Amino acid sequence: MLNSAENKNKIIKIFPLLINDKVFKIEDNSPNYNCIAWAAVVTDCWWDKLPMDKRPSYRHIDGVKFDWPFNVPDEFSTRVLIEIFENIKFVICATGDYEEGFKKVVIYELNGEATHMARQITWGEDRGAWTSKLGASFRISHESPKSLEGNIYGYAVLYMKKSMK
Amino acid sequence: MPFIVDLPPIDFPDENTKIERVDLNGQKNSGEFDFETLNIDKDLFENVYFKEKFNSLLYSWKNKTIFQSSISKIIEDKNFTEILKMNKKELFPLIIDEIEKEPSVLVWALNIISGQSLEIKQRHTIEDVCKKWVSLYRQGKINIV
Repeated sequence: MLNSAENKNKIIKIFPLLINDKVFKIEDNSPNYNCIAWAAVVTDCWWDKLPMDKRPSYRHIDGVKFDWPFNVPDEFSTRVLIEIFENIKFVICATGDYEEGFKKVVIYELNGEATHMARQITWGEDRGAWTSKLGASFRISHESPKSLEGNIYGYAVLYMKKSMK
Repeated sequence: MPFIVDLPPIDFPDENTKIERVDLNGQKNSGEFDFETLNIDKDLFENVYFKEKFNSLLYSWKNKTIFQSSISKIIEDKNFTEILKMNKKELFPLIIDEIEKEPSVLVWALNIISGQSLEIKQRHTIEDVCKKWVSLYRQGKINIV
């Protein structure tokens, strides 16, 4: 079962702060998309740095699409992630606190390198909590960006928000 | 009863293999070792060793990269590159079994080791191509040289 204690323990082993997370649950385990794509609500391809002349790449692996959209530089960095999300109308904001009418994303960094993104849930009983795709693996919901902080993704360093109106 | 301390790679020269004999009291015996006395079924040894090595590298690769979102970090991981160096013919069915059991980005290894890319014109997901590789392989349509 997807949301089993066994699977949850596997994740907690890597992200120990999840042990006290009241929202933590596993939602999916598809390899079809990664965290950056999921932050932009894309579930059928990976968003990862690609040389400019190969975007989007459908050929790279058997017709699977990989993209690094909006002509941003071929670089997996906070600077470039900001640029991508500015293209879809996000702006930098101060915190990850829930604001009615806004969708938020957060960028994580470890030793100055971008590692991960998460998106705030804006509907349902978990509204205000966060959703993260963990690489090619599980997609989870978690209470706050802090729950994934540690020696894998580092720390939540930058928030962006977008009006849903 | 001889005990092999370090299993060597299957293509490793015998003369470089480290072997120690330990008796029931834990005493190590030194001196020359006669390989003929081992009397191990070579094919069985190689098969078991190959599969164990694959499983071990796969386990380490998954553990190190399972939560990684960067493709280059996933495929440049040392364990993944070690998998790619294994004998293609024996490696292929192990990867096919693995992605049949659990579709995953391990399918990227098939493109790299075979030098082949499935001719799929429409857009697909990683799960789709895992199924496609498995199906073509089971039908005998993938030739590994």
